[in-house]
Amino acid sequence: MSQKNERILSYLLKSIKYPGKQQITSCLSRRDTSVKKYASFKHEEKDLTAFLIFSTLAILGALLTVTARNPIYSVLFLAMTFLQISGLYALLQAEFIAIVQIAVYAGAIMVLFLFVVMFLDVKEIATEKNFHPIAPVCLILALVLLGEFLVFIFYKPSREGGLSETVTAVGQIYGTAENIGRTLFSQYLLPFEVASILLLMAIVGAVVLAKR
Amino acid sequence: MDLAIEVIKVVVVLFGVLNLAGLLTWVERKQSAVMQDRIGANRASILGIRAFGLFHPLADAAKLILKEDFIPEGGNKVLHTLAPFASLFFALLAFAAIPFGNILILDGKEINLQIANLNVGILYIFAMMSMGVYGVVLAGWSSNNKYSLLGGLRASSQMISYEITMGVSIMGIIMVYNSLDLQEIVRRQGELLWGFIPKWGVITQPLACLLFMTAIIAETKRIPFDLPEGESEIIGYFTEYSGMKFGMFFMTDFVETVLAAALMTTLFFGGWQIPYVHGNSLTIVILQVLAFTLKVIFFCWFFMLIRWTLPRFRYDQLMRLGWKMMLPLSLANIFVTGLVILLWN
Repeated sequence: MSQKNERILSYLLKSIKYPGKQQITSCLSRRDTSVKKYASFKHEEKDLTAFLIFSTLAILGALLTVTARNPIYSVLFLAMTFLQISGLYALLQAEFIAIVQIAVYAGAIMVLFLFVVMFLDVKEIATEKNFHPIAPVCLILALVLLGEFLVFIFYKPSREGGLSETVTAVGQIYGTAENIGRTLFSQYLLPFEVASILLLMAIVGAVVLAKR
Repeated sequence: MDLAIEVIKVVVVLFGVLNLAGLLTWVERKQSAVMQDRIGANRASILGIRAFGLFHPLADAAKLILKEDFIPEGGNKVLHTLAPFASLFFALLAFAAIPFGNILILDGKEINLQIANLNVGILYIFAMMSMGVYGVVLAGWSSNNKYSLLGGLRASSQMISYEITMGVSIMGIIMVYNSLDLQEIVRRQGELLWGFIPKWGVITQPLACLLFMTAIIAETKRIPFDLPEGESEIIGYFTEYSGMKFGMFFMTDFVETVLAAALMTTLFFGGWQIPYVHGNSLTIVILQVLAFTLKVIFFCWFFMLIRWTLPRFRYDQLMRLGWKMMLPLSLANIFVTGLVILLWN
């Protein structure tokens, strides 16, 4: 394995495990109360166990989502997957994203899905083994996606400023609400405002359709 | 040792919440009796001792456990059973982020009297409350009863509508105290305004306090917002439940009432703060925990008082109040708060 690849992998691993003591102490001086608890909670084995539990359940939930016969179960398993992913975010110390994951995806979007499925009155799909004609296309798309992921992980950039520059371990307090807010309202202000206008348009559109 | 402390904290909070919730069934009956000039529950007795009807919650629990657990024909057995558990589970989980006391310093060891000190504590509680919708929706759907389904729909759309107002109304609090961490918010409420007024949320954010209280009463589905349940008149989402599963929905209601009271206390009435008293010593912390409990009990009682005072809203009135009055008011509150903070500094 080349040196660059090892660097990328070590960055990825660093982002999964907690950073060393030096970083924790530097964080302590910057923001005391919320980070202090991690200092006593940096047993990496405990994190690895938690990571394995969360990721296994997430994958299990995702599999059950597509294999469940009853669409209501599918929705519930998808909600379970989101909860596990939120746990993974929490392990990466992105507490804000973890909570938003629960509140927005599991708490709001999945409930909407549940409504729709309930009102469509979908019965359990009868047992049928023959595949849909579109299945080969799906398989190809899935393989392309898998390939893209593999390239993303193992691609060896030929020049400086390549992938290895973009994948860097972020600091421990990066995922806090304060930092996300600051980044969102300074560096990404325009995309943020554009997204909010898009949402506003969707709301107005829904109201117009409902009034018709 | 650390683990033991954590376990003790969890046990204390669960014990307190569940017992208070059980006791509230009695308070509710007695409160209605007092307000309607009746005697109220006083029949249950153990060995001839009646104790003002305090044994009624026990009798209720025994009755609910011994009753037949009925699942309607054609209903989904798994989800029918899961729904009450989901409701109660997420309601109880929310208590993890509520601080019930200051950081206690015992032999140089810091014990934070809060189960989980999250720096996004307030968002965590809202996330857990939004998960509570699952129980309601699933109960309505899995009963195989069209009325229950409609009841579940009514309940969940009410909960989702008022969740928005609830979330928006506390933005002012977050702006004033500059934190999402509930322990931090409570600590800041110990400061004094102009040197003599405690900087409680109700003083810095009076409108938000009113809006939040209204929204959280709607969220807990109590009168005047009890259309989802409508105990005797309207068919609600748990019509097809009996025995302890019904009891669990009933429990959820009271647990949510305690949660609402705890949130009112934490966000707007200084949490565990006793005005002008500061410190981390054992005596002061015990007094602060007592103060917190007392405030929570007061708000539980206050919600009972509201319940027996106001008549029920109609459904369109409920939605109009939520979307056309409370949401714009809470948005205006954010704007005014931001303006004041900007001009103040």
